[in-house]
Amino acid sequence: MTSELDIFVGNTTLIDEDVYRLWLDGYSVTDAVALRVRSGILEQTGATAAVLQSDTMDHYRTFHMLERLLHAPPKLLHQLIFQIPPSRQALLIERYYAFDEAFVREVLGKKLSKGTKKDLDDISTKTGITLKSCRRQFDNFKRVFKVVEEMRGSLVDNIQQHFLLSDRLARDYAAIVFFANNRFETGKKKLQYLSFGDFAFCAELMIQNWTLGAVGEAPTVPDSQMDDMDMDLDKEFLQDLKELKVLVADKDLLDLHKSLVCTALRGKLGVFSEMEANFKNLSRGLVNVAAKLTHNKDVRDLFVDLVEKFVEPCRSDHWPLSDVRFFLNQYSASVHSLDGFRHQTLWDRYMGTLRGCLLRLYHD
Amino acid sequence: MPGKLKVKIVAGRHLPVMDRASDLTDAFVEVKFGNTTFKTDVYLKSLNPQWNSEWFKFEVDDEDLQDEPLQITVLDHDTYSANDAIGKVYIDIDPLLYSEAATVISGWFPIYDTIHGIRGEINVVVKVDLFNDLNRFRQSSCGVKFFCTTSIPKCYRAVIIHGFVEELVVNEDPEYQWIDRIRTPRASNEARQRLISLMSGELQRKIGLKVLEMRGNAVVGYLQCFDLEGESGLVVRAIGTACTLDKLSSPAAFLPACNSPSKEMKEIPFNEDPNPNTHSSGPSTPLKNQTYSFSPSKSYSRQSSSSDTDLSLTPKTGMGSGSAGKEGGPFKALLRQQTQSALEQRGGSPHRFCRRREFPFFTLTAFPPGFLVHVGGVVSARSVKLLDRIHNPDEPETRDAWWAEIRQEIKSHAKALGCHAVVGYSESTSICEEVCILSASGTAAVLNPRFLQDGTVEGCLEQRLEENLPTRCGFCHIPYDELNMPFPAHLTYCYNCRKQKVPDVLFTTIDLPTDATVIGKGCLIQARLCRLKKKAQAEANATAISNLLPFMEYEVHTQLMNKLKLKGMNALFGLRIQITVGENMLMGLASATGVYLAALPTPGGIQIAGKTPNDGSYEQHISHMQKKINDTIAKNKELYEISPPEISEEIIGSPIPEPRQRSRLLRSQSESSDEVTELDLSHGKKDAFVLEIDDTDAMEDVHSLLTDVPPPSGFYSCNTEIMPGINNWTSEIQMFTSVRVIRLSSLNLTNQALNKNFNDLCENLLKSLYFKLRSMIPCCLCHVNFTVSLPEDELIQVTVTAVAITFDKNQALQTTKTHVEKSLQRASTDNEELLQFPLELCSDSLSSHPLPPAKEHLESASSNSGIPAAQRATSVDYSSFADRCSSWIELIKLKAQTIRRGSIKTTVTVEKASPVGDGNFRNRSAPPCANSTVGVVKMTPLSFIPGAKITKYLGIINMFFIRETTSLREEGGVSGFLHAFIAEVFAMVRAHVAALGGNAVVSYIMKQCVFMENPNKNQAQCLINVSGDAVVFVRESDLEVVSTQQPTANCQSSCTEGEVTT
Repeated sequence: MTSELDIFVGNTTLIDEDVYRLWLDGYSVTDAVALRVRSGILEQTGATAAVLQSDTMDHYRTFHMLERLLHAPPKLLHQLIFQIPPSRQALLIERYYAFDEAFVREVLGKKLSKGTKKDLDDISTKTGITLKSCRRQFDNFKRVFKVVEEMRGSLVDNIQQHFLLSDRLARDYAAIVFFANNRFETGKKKLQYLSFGDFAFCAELMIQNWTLGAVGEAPTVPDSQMDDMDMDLDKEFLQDLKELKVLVADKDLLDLHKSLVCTALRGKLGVFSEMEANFKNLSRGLVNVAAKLTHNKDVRDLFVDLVEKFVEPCRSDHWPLSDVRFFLNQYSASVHSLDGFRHQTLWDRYMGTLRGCLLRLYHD
Repeated sequence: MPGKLKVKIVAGRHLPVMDRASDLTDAFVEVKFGNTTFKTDVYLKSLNPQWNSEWFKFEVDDEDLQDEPLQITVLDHDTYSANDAIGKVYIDIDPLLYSEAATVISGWFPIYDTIHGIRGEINVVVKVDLFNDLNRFRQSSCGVKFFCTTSIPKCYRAVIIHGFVEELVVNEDPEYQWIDRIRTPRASNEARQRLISLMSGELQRKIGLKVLEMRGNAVVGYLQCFDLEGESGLVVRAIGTACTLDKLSSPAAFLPACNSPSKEMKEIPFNEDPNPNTHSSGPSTPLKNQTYSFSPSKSYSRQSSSSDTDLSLTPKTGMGSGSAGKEGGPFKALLRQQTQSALEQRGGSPHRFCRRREFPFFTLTAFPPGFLVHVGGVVSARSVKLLDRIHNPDEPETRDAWWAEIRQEIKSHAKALGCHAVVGYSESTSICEEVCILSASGTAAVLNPRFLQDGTVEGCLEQRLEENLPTRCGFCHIPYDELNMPFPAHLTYCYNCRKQKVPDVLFTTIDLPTDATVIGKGCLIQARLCRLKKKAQAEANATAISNLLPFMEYEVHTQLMNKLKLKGMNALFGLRIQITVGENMLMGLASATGVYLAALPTPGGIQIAGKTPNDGSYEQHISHMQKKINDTIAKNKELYEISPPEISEEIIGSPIPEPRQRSRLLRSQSESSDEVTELDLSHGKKDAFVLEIDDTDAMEDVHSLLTDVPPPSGFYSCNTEIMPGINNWTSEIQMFTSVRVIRLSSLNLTNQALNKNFNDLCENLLKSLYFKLRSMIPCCLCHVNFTVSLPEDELIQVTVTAVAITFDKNQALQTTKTHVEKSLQRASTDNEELLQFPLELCSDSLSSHPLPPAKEHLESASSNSGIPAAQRATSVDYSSFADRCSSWIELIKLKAQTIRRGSIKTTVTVEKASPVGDGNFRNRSAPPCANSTVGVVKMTPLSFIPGAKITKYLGIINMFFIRETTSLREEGGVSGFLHAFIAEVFAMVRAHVAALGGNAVVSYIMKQCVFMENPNKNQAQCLINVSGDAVVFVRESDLEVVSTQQPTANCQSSCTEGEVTT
């Protein structure tokens, strides 16, 4: 006696959260059944393994059918085939688009292309996440990217509107899309200590301040329509950043800046002497990062540069985070007192974001 | 009443990509009704086209309106080649044809393609303007309401329950026409879908005509089925119960919970209209009520007194569509003469009444209180027929005759049980190649003959109540004569009133009457059986099947009886025995809900007797088994809370009274019931059921008895509307369909192995259901409906549809229940007054009235009634088999002691009735449903929705779909294919209901699920037929806040996108 066909269809589609998770994690039916058996469900319910097998198959089939709809979540809401309560729909979508920290760190900033997709095998081996799950997550990133790529307006809003994600998840996706679009390097060894959260935080600040959308009004120049409001950094702004070079190129200005900062921080900083000794190096580092951002290659290395030029020197001198904060605040603010410097707004736009990023990046 | 049909195509969405180059679609829509077609403009390059068409108007006859479906086809425009069809929507516009139902159909419909499934949705608005036209010779029956519900629908009251209506239409199956060889599968499927839709419409119209003739205005318990006879054709047949219904005009008056079908009956206001007779008259009935409503008592006394009279009163030729029984020639001639003369004298009227009286059958399973007087037991009849090609679709005599024969048999069985009517009546077929088993079953019953002319009954309510009291356990009392019993049965005096005789066990096909007193809870009881049979052709095959049938019936009954005893119960309700025929085997599956009726005696245990008592180890084994059985019974009693009060102890010892000589008919006995005071408990309690283990087969049987696993704790199951013993339902419901197909290993199949496989299949299926629905605990699976089919040699398919309903564990069940029952009984007696019961023909009054419509039609029909001799010769008549079979059945009944009756206990409940019950009631309705967002459409096989009130019936849903695939593997194999299809069927049902402005389907049933696969060719095909009643319901919690507000069609159409679809 073999079972040829075995199905269960409810008027309200049954969703088992545990099985959904197993499915999302990319387990085969056999593995999922084994895992469920291990969870002790048979003892709790008095069911048999055959029942569990049939139940798991059923859920997998349902999820498989739902997957097509999950690729365009608004379709899930409007479709007529599966009657699912709204709260369940939200859960389905949210879980489907959720991703693993380990996975996202591997692909963050990489081009979401076929080439990367081929690397998924390696990522799967490295992270222990099943290849199936890796594919789903990667495809999610890519799908969101494709949909919002050409769109104008707020990145987070666009994502939320088209994928019906929660605010938090939409922000994360905004960061992923932003990183993918600008191809920021995140995989270098020295960046390994950074979490996805760190990058996402920085991405949000950069989206808010450094992109075209951040300026407010959409530019009226026709060719600038090519630029996406929130995805691409404001090219004009990056060009302008060259002007900041004067802060380190002009020796007088640099000295003045240093003395202003030192005066203000004297006695307030535990690592004052180290700061004083390193000021010029640090300042040069930060300003040079800004000046280099005209080149795409250097934009990609932004985080590498920040860590190399600022985080690592400070860390080697054992600056506490509070001191870093004091220093950065003073360092940014003091520029306003430099009479010879004319690019105050530009400086604020640059340093305001960078300060936030650096503070976030500054940890072990 | 010709009418104008108006259709507007608004928009489409989620259309499939038809143009690979642009990834878009250039869609347009064809709207077709009858032979008229309109087209919308092509909406270029969009997957979400906005046609916003003008109103397409069709001017049509109402006959067409009833028969034809509106056909909407969505196509992709192609400049160079033929336009590609995207899919179709068939809309049944019948609900728009009667005033109380929907006024507009408006909403998103899934666009369905038989090859690709659902491909996007289309928004359509449909309206109908009907012109009044009092043409008396009309062929249409607009205005007759149809209900699938097998009880009087909520928010209606029955003025008259007229009786049985039936009709069948036949046609060639397009799948077997020569043209099918050259057309595409899609074209073939669509031809079939369209044909069945047309035939359904025609059938419904014809039934409607019969109802109008009977002066009714509605059909309740409408059951339509189709038989795919393959080469020999396609039969669509329907049965139902004609009624005159009256809408309850005050929807505010309702009970907080409508858990039982007739609960609301007690709210039925005393008819506001001083003269209810005006309600009862159909659209074109000038006659007054009393002229055609008669008490059946006269009729039946006449029947029972003289069989000659009986026969002459029930001429078979009375069949409207013309049928010929197998009575002898001269007799038939006589009958025809009679009919003829009757027609000459009085036109169509007597004809009409003849037919109605011919089969006093009722498809209802639940009744207004007081309607059911006595229940005799289950009556069933089967017959094996050889199919032959239907030569002339316009004259479906053969099929008609077959059914007439079976019905006649049922009727005579009922008569043998001293009953004049059959309730809970249903018919079914099982077809394999050219052999067809026709089955009919029902419950023989005596119905309340009271005829009340005036609906204003307030005055006599009290009196009625008094009158009614003695008969409260009456439905269990035997209707047949004790001295002239149709079979030997152990009769005892009713455990409730102690005045009337009751049998020890009662089997019925109806739902548990609401006023019945049960002890503990009920449970689903199934008997499962397989029998191998040799492959054979034609007549040899039919003979083999006929020979097997009686044995199967016998074993099924034995199994049911054993299982019932094992559960410690004494009555079965909702019994449904299905015999399925396959190439090399027969399957029997009986499902019923066992209960302990307080009025019936406590069932005895089961005793095992071995045949070789000398063998010590064998003896030990036997006693071991006996112990196991006893333990199981004890366990079951505990599980189902069966603890009958020990009130009868002192009575048991009392001397056995001399049986009184009674020559009277039973009815008179019940009327003079107070005379009877002695108690007869000679049998009953001590009666043990003996199982003789004389071979391995019997051993197997005992084992299989003990292998049935009870549902896990927190679960109950039953196949009736509601679970006896549970009344505090909460509002969460989950309707589902589950299908399983197993392949038997073809090697060395034995009956035992088959039985085991089948048993395991059913048990595992139930286990899976319990597991899947575990999050709903405590809950009950209600209306569990198993269907077995044998699609191929080694395949067994089991389809289950049921609904899981949660209930509140914490409330005292029994208290609530008894209170409800009590209050129901009291309050609803008035309802009885509202019933008129025109089984009897009052010829005097008839003769004085002119003939109603359709005279010509009937005349011509009856003149056709004799089957041409040539044709008769070609159809092999297997009625002899049927006869033999039925005599066997009689014998079986004797042996298995199946057909019994019981009684209701009332004494215990009276004291428990307290005002607390009301409070409980209210609490129960409180928890709001998680699914209660706008646009959710509930589906349930029950006639009610827990925690809600049905405010409006929008019309019948009767849909037929075919799905086919040539890429089975790609669609996830057979499971993926069928899973998707069933989900699509649900979706289409919901969409139609939503478009009618409804939010639920009640009495939903999947009547057919025919699945065929050919994995080698990567192909599969499935046909599904579903039906139900579209309704609007209002949550009780909502109703308390806004009592007047009702969801309307307008509301529904305005909440377009998200809500409707979620």
